[in-house]
Amino acid sequence: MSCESWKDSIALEVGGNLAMEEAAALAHHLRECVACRRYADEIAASQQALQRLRQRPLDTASLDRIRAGVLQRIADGKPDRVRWWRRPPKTVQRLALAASVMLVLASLWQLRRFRESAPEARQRDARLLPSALVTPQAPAPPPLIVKEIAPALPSPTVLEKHSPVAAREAQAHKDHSTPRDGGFRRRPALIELSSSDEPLETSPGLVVLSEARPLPSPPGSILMDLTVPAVEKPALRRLSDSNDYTIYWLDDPADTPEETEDADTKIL
Amino acid sequence: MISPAVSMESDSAADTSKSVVEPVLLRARAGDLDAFEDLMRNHQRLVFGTARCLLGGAGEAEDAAQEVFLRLYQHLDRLDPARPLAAWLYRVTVNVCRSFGRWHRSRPTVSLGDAADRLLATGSDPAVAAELEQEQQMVARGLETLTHKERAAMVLHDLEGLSVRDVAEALEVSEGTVRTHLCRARQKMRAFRERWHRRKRR
Repeated sequence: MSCESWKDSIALEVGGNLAMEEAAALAHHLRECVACRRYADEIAASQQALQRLRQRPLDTASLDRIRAGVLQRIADGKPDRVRWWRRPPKTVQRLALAASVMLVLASLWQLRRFRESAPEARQRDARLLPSALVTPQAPAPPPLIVKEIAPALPSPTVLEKHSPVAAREAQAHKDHSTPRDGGFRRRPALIELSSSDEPLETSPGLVVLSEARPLPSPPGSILMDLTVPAVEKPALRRLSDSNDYTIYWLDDPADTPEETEDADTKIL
Repeated sequence: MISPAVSMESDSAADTSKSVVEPVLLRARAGDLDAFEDLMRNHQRLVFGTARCLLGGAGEAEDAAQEVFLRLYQHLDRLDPARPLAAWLYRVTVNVCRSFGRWHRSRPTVSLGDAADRLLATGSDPAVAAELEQEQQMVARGLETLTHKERAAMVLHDLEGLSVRDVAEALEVSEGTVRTHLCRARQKMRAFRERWHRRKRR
């Protein structure tokens, strides 16, 4: 260990800041090293001069002026006392800041998840999220109610995809699309289309269900709450999509096709 | 051989870790201005003495001490009576003196008032008084060469007698940092003293 590296130890030992073992090692070194002993004496002398600075008497007049000045300033301005509730401790301030940041991050994450989620999940999340975070959406149109008043035909015609009949239709009318769903069911029926507010119209229509499954029983009545896209021409309107089936409706009774294979394909 | 002026942490002259509830603090908190004046009287030497060592001049130290006591008055409701008031006062004094040093940028010199005090304190021997005056000028100038943290660590530990732990709390640094500051400060003061005496001998 060089003498230069002992200087830090000397500077600490002069104030009693060296551990006992280090102090013993330093004392051993000082017994052998004249240069370090001189350095230690110089530091000690410097410290003694510093200590004498403390021995300066305090001017009592200064102390009186300090107290009088403080009391005068209190009497003049009445400096507000900082109440604990107006200025919480630093720890509380830091905790509050951290909580705020976490709240903002969690809200942003939740909002992002909400926007990316499926409509069903969006509806579910909307109940959990603060209303301010939910993206405002256009007011939903009044639900439409499709009511089949009476079936026009005694029984529906069922066409299955890849069935011989459907295959023949596709072959015969290449310019028309073929059913893409697993099958479909169609039949003319008298349909009442109404909203929740008022009846819209009652008209014979063609009900086409995309899924080949039996109509709800009894078959004479289909009541559904529907959010229907804008109803436009052409006559075939897609009224609803649900997990179970799709309902199309033919507006004009004059266009209602007869139960022929051609009509089936033309409509679809 | 070195004889440590202050031993390791245990016997510091101003042990701020003592938890003594000051009844006068409670009375002052209740709005008793006389009690607040007593509180100032109890701690004026701590505040003013430390400020004078940190700032050098008595005039500035008076202003700083007033500022410290005004902050004490403003924070009476926030102080924990179970915790030592001295530790809080040391910390605020160091902070106030740092801001005073920033604003005023004055040289920490020993004022004429201080010199007159010492002349009175050392009796009527002008030679002793002059020598003491020169030495304290040197110390004051030497303190000026230190950084604020080094000066504060040295004043609180070597002059006020605070333990390293209490100094660390007052300066809001680690104990290792305080030791580093003390080491650097003492080495700088030694170097300054040697330069001062060499210049004086020429």
